[in-house]
Amino acid sequence: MSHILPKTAKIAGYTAFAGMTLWLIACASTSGGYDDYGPGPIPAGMGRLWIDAGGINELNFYINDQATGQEVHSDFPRMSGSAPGAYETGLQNTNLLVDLPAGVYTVVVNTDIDDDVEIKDVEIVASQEKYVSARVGRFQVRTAGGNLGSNMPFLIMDYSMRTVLGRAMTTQGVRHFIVPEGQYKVRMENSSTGFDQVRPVEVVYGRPPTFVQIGEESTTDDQEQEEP
Amino acid sequence: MMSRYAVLSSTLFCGLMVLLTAFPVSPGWAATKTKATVIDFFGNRHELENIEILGKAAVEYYVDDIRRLVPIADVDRFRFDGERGDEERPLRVEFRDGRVETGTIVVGADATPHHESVGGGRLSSQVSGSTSLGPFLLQLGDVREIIFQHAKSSRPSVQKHLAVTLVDEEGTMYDVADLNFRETTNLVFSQGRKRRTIDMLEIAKIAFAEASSGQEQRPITVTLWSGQNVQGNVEAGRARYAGETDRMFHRRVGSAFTGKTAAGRFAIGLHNVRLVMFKPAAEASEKPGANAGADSAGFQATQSPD
Repeated sequence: MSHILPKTAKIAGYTAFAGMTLWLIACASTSGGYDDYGPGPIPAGMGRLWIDAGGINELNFYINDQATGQEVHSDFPRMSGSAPGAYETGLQNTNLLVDLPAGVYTVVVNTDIDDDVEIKDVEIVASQEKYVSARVGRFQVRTAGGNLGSNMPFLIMDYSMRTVLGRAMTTQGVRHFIVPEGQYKVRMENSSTGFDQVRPVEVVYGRPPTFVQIGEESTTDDQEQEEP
Repeated sequence: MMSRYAVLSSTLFCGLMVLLTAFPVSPGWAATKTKATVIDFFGNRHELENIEILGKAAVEYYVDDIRRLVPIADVDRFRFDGERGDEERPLRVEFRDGRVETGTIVVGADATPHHESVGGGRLSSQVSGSTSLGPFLLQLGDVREIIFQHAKSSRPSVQKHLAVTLVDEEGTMYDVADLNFRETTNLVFSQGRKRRTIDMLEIAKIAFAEASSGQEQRPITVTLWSGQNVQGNVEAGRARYAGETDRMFHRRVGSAFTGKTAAGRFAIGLHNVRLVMFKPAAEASEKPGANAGADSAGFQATQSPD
């Protein structure tokens, strides 16, 4: 059938085919990250680092080359724990996938408290994937009751309440606070009204968020009693 | 008679075996982990491999109510005193470099869950590892002593002695030895959302920008010994957080940099510092206090909250 086609059509066909091939190669070689169709292939001469945060899709982190001490990658999509407008986006994509040249790296994960999670001696080999675990977990604080607003500041302390590890704030939207795996206390205080609540929080890697409620929700019976 | 393909495949197999023998493959997960002898309250000894304490590579304890996070790789021996069932027990820590510390450790933090803190799973207060008989678990509250046997390749972190000349907002100079920043030898600062940590051994100078009384973040310029300049912000607020106790507040606001002068202990808040000039490592071991004078005795930035 090809002998029927004119020469110009053949040339156009070959050009289109070559163009498509080049476009596909270009897309494949630059897609180091995660797009709607999942992660692209590993670019030539690089290895792939996956940070496994136990079900958490998004972390603030940076990566240093251990040989030079220079930062080679950083990504900080999450807002601070005390930002009043922050919320969980429900995104399905992850930023925990990085393509790096072969070498030895240190991964530093910033959490919502002063303690970072540092993963040293991460060796990346060209054309291979490397998985490392960042042992962080998350919790959620919900306030209920007439006196409590939607933006309530609170402190995250160590379990024995000797050290303030971080500040945070509840928001109207769903909000997860990311901390290293461990046991903490959350304290919400308002001295003018005499409100002071402390809750223990246990955060485990790879588990769903720990749910903390502060304040009491009014029940149906209470509402009925209040009505005249 | 062997076919040509059989000869070829056997040659390839032999070649592969020779290569594997010459260059053994050692996967990352096969790295040697710490071994330890665990002695429980009844005096039983357990030889463990791949030991983990509360599932972490570092242990949290308190010395004079100050929180410490110490990597297991730095520790030679833990001795837990007190009684079984105590939530907090006295702890003696012997380091691999010969130092000894005594403090307290929380061992029963999971004993009292709150009904309004639910889900998320439970952490085990356990010492875990494996013996020749199989997996091993022991509650931390039942442990009397842990003696580590570290691999020869694992080296403990070297204790750092930092000596600096520090200039405060009034222009007074202090010669400070054993400088710490919030109980560690790392400087922590922020660059936008990013929180960065720099080992203070790498720093030659920290210059603080002009501060106003209500400023929460104070810009700094860090000059490294390599000549590189890094800019960022440190938290220098003097407002009290709701829920913060007096001790926490004064430690946070007044004791960001701590150390020793010739006249005694030294502490200063970030709102009160203008310049920190680090001495090269060789000078760091010299005696402090040349410029400080007697009036720097126990200098403390006891700025009252505005």
